[in-house]
Amino acid sequence: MRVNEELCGVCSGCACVCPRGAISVSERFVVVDHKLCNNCGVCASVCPVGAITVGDE
Amino acid sequence: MKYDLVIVGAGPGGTSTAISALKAGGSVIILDRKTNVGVPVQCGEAVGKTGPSLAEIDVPKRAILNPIRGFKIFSPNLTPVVYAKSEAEGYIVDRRIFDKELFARACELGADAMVGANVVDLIYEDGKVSGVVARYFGEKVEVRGEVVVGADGVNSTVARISGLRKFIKPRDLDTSAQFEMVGVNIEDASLMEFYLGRKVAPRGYVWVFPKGENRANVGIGIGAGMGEKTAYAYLMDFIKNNPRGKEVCRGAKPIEFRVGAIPLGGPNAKNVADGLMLVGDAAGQVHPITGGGIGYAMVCGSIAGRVAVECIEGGDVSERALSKYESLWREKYGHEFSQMLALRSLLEETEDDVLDDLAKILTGENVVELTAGKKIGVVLRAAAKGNVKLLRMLNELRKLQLIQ
Repeated sequence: MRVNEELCGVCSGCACVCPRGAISVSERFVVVDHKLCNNCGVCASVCPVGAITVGDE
Repeated sequence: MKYDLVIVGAGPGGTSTAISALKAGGSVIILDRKTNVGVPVQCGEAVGKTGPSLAEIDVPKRAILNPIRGFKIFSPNLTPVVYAKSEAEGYIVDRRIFDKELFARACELGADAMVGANVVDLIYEDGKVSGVVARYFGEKVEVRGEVVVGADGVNSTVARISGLRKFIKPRDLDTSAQFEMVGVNIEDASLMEFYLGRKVAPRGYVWVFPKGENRANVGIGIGAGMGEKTAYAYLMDFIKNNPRGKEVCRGAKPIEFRVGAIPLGGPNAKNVADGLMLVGDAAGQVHPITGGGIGYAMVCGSIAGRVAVECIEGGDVSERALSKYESLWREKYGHEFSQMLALRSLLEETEDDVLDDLAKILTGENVVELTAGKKIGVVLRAAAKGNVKLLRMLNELRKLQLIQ
């Protein structure tokens, strides 16, 4: 998954629902651990601004 | 140095825990990941109308922007249900000031503080939580205490690491988008406005919370993943196309945009462990329908702080001892939360035309009673006049013990 930082408002919704704990949130941005992420897409489904894309570009 | 309480998170839950622990004679340190507590705001900024009343929470005066004496709820076809009292029952506040004032109050009472301390791990000794590891201005530091309190919000690190809540199911999360606007056309700035409907806000609502005569938070929360588009897209649709929304927002200018996530799936099964307590959003202490959580966090935090000091003085901070906190707060709100969870499921199934019919027969008082888990007193069955779908809905409410 990829986060468009221009859209992301760091609400942390994606991190809350990630079943693998692959997403952590700092004060200003979202960090994805690509070793843990399996592109399930649940994060993209909750994003309030559509900042997340999943899978191959 | 070892503290009595190590509190993670300087929001209303964490600072209320701190203030009550300090008053009970405990030593406290508060850590927050943010360097600027309360910013960015992730909230509609309404307090007092959900859960604890204004009398039960100590709202910092400087944070009050606008007293609220009621609300207007609009059904999908814009049938209004109005509740208006003569006195203020709530406030729209500035959360930046609100959180900062409570934080300052806690520190003035004696709490130590570490801002910009990002907690990355819990320290366990003999199976009991006895501190946290934080990244703090480029260094890794350990902070130890008798009890660690996780008041670190919806995406709680403490809840995740301790295993008390590993993640939130999407259906138990709402995500929100909100503009603060000036030039808003508000009929009555002392009333909040809510807009319901599957097309308006699936499993959620649009809100207009007046901060003054022409200034308001215009926002939306929707069931995560339940819509056909993003929360932002639904909000823009309301502002541009909803018959009332476009009147309210005509000529209005956004001066801030913010997003948020709200855990409304009810409290975690357990919010205590050996040497550990959870408070506020981290504990899931949020009204499952309104999404309001500030008051609950403050009252539950006060209980947590008091119980923690009591347990430390008694030399026992085991899960069993700390569970006094769990029983005390559940005694106050447990029933309300479980009823509102059931009502939430019912509302999720309810079609827009039934909501419209319901809006015609419900009074504002009825809505206040319903969302507080109290039985509605009036005879609604007569009012339903043979409307089968509406009668079915009323029957469901009766099963939830929300109608006599």
